[in-house]
Amino acid sequence: MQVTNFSSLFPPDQIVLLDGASGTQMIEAGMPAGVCPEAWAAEHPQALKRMYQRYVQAGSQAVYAFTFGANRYKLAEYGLAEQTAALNTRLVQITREAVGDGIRIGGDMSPTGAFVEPFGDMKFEQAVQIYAEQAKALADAGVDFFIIETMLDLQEARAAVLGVKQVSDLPVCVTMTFDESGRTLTGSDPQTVAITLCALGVDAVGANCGLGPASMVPIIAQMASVATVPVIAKPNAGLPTGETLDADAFCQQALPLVEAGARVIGGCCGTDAAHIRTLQQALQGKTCQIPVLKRLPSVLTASAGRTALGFDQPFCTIGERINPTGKKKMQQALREHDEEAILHMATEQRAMGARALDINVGMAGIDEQVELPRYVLAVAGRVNDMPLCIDSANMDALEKALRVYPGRALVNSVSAEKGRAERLFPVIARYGAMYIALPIGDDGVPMQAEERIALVEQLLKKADSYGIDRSACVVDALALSVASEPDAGREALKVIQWCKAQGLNSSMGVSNSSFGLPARPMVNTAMLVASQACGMTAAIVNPCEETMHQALYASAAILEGGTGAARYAQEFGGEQQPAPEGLFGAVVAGEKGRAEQFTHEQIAKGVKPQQLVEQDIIPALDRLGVLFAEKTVFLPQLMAGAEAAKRALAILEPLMVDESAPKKATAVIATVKGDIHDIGKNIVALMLKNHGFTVVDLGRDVPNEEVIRAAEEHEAAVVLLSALLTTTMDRMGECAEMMRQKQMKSALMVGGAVVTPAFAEQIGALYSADAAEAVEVAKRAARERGFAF
Amino acid sequence: MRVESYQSMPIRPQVRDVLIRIGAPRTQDAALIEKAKQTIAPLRPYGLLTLIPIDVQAQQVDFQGRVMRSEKLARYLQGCSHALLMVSTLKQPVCDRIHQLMENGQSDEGIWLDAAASVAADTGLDFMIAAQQKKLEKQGMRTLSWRYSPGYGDLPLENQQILYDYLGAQSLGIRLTSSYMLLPEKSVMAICGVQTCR
Repeated sequence: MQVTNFSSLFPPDQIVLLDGASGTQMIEAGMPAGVCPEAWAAEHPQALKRMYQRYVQAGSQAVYAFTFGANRYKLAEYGLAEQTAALNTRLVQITREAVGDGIRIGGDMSPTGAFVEPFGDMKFEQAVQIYAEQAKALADAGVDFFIIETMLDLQEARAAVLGVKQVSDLPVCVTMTFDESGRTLTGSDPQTVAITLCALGVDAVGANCGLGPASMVPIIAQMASVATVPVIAKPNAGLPTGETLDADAFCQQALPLVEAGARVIGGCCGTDAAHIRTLQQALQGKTCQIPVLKRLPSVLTASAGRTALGFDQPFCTIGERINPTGKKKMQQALREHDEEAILHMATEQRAMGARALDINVGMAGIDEQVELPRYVLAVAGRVNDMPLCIDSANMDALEKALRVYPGRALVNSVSAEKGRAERLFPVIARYGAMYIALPIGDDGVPMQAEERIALVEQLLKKADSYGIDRSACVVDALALSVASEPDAGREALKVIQWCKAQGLNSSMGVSNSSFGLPARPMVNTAMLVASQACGMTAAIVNPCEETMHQALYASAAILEGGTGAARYAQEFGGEQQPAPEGLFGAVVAGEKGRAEQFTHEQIAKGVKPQQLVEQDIIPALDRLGVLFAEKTVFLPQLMAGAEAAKRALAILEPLMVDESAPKKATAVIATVKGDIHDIGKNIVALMLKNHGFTVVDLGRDVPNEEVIRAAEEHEAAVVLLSALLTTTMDRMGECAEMMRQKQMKSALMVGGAVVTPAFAEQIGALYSADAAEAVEVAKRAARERGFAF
Repeated sequence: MRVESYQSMPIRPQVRDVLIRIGAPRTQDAALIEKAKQTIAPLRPYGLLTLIPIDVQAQQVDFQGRVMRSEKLARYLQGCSHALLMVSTLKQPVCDRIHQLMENGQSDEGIWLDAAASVAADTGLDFMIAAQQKKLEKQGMRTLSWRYSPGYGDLPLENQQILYDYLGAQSLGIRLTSSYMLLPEKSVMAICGVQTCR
């Protein structure tokens, strides 16, 4: 009979001791660099056997078969893809010959090296099949469990787990590699990993490689705080600092891993039989005191973040905007496959405080089975720290989207209508999702709270029959429009109160309550706050709508104590800057709208435009130049001021046409031929305009002939050239020579990251280090040529 | 030679690098720091990477028949048996957005996005190198701790053509100009040496 529980492979209540490093052991046994390690090991079975025998003698109760990279994708790099099954079988056979029947063998699997969508171009199903193929060979060869290790990406780990489960019921364990920041390469923290993989049905979860034992302790502690399966720790002896821990030091630093919650322990890179032996002796009689949790917490995950739901958690705002119903722009975006538009909606809602995102693409003409997984992946890739609520009436589309979602999603929703729960609960169980229970039956929407509660109880019972715990349930209290159902609000609140008493999370689509009413935002916020006060823990709302945005933060301040109040203060408080005084102040502060406003006010009062330019705008720009030179303000603030000045000048310049004004100096500006960088050039152009120059901007990649032609045509006082590369700087010297030959009166100025004062002097040009200095140098040059500045 | 593709890389850039690019390397201004964080948060580079055997000589490096002539590059790759060739890009829409902001009276926002996009593209290279580390270690190899790019030292920019060809960079919508610069502008190529470790 196949053993399906990892713990039952080993004596109860003991710390399970794994083996140590294998790759480094094979290198020491003579494996050359650059060969296929698995093929080399299969050709040198004695070296492999000696390694395993050392580990068994040292006390290992389980060893990993040397099949780490023996998947089709990796083997293809060596032209050995067709040897996948044979190689895995042979390596397991060698291992079994080495250790005998009393020691457990883990079928070792690892990253393919390619990244799976949404972070790479390997399709999720391709990854699943790669792992399924290897797992089948390992299972047929007689491994006792699977170990998917050294994983860098949670999505690939998911694919591996699903691949294994497709072909075998043997226990499957997963360990991921974390770095010094406490995250995996693709940003997953330990709790997100543990929750996602436990929900997916792994038999053990943990960490290996990347870190030494001391650095791994907090990782293990975090995992153990949420895991419903044993936790594995397999740290390195070789540290990122270059130091390698000897057996005693490794052991001393590894024992706290057990105290932190590791029930399974071994060593990774740099460890050998001595490390394992020392560990084995130190672990005699020790047990892990951290209990394995019986149920997962109500936590949704994304690949790099998680959102907890509950009465002691911040309120879970689920952003509703990615839904085409009644939204023309969204419908158009879906029809035109405008992925960026939809991703923008996602990032906007995140910026406005959403803690999860509902995603619905259901509309006529859209194949949801294709588009829903596609957009789920796209959003999950862009907003990778925010869990998704996958919303569809199409159950096949829901399943496909759940399969590829790189985390633990919230399914919207499971109703009590005939067949829906039976169809969806197996899928929810398989992918470990949470779900919204919708108390709607075959008779339609019940008006009374008691009827809804009865349906919820039915759903909970059915979910339990599929092994889905009630902590995975979020009850939709059903917000109906109070315009058509006067008691709708009160009935929804009764459901929420019942959920609170039962310890169940609850939610609602708040905006449904105001349908048909005027001033909908006000009704929505009233429904939201009343529901929160009754114990609702989540809501599907538009976090970008101003009134709702304010209400969410304000209610948090009231209902969530100190943390809610702090979030409110951060969102709406902060250091209040005094409003800028007058046009001068608005330009210095970079407040474009206020600059326009003050300009209009002053003109209306009869102030002359020229006076505003000379007494407010130019002094403000000069002040900004000083602040910039002092490094009190920086480039963005300088530009904000320049843009504010530009707006004011746009109002004033038409009013100055009839006034006698001196002829403006013209500046011709360009990025040289062969160079495409223009940000610096654009900044200088704007600054010169604001300071009274007429600017002829020729753009980028401009031949010298064109520069000369424009300078002659416009009688430029100054020619400014920009270059970012040493290879394009030469154009500047050539232009200088052309100007000399033509005896042009224009001054030549040069600038750019690679341009130095020495270079400028060498070619006979003026130099400026930055935009502010460029204005001063240009003004000086223009004055020398008879222009008034 | 296998080329690995990376999409929407979940990079973890250093916010301080964005502040360096806007000229505020040591600022403690909370508003500036927050602005840098917010600007770079949604940026996700795309990338391509390949591992190629190399032959390092005194003044040049042979990349499987395509030679880069550079004494400094040869010195950098001394002792390496292989090299990672990489490209990272933010793609055209981000560059278009920068230009749009600069042209439409929001040059302050344009500068922030320009700085953040440069950092994001660069960090994409770090991400790809980190993704390869474990695989290389298992084969008894490791990467050098820094990288080299055409345009550095005495390595002319036209060598970008070699990386461009080996990586098939056009598949990411990247073009090479006649002066061997990359378009979209927020694209960057690099070489990272790989040596055996004993």
